[in-house]
Amino acid sequence: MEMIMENYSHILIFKTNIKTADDKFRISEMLSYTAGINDWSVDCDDIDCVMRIVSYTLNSAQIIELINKMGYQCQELE
Amino acid sequence: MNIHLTLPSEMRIRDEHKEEAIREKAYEIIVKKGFEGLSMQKLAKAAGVSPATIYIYYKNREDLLHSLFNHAQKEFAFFALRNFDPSVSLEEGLWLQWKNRLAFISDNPIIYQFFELFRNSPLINHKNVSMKEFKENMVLFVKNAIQRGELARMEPEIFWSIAYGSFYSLVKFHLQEKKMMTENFKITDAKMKQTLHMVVKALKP
Repeated sequence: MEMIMENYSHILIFKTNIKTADDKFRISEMLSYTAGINDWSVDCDDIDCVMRIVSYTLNSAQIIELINKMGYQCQELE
Repeated sequence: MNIHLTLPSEMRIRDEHKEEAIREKAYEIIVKKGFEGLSMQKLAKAAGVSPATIYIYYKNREDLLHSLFNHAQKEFAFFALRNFDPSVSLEEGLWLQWKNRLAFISDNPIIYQFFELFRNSPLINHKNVSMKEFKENMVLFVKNAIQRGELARMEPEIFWSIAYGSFYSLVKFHLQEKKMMTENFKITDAKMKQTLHMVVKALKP
């Protein structure tokens, strides 16, 4: 049995309060100007408004700081 | 460049088996409870993983559904194209298609039910990338049969209804999704052959 494993450390998952289309728009502007973010999405349908970030250079603490600065809550999702 | 070093204990590892387990659970939930019964949270609970794990693989429910549909299509195409040669006779080719499709259904009953539910659903805006090779083979097979005079020209929907609709009806009786005279209708090679002879006759020019 062959186990194919791939490192997924570049995918960071957060619980946020980015709820509305307006919130998402504000975040999208900021993230599009941030170097080192390859892809991002927020699932506004989920109760935890889960934000998914693909970055090979930024870590969770740095992402949390960026989002907090915009006035939104952000914590790593377990 | 700002390089973030991750400790091995924090490393997120992609595990194909875990991904497979999540996918299987997702098909199961959809087949049992319908599209509305599936949420990322419910899926995490059912699969015994954390919601964060689900989000590593999928961005949201829509992304998950697309991925499930694409996976189902790939599985189907893999089975359907097994040993298939589009240059064989109509009867031989259809026989292999029926056998291959029955093998797919028997091996993947849940995926088959999911497929049936969502094949024509507007909820799934499918891209069909994985179906290119399958479609090319099926088109070539039909064209060859027309050229050899084994098959009359007709609209694709009419062809499908006769060539495959009959087969899928038998499958539905076999799976007891439909009932008629016999309580326990079971599909067999002999019954499929009998049907196929009539189908091939009906399709002649």
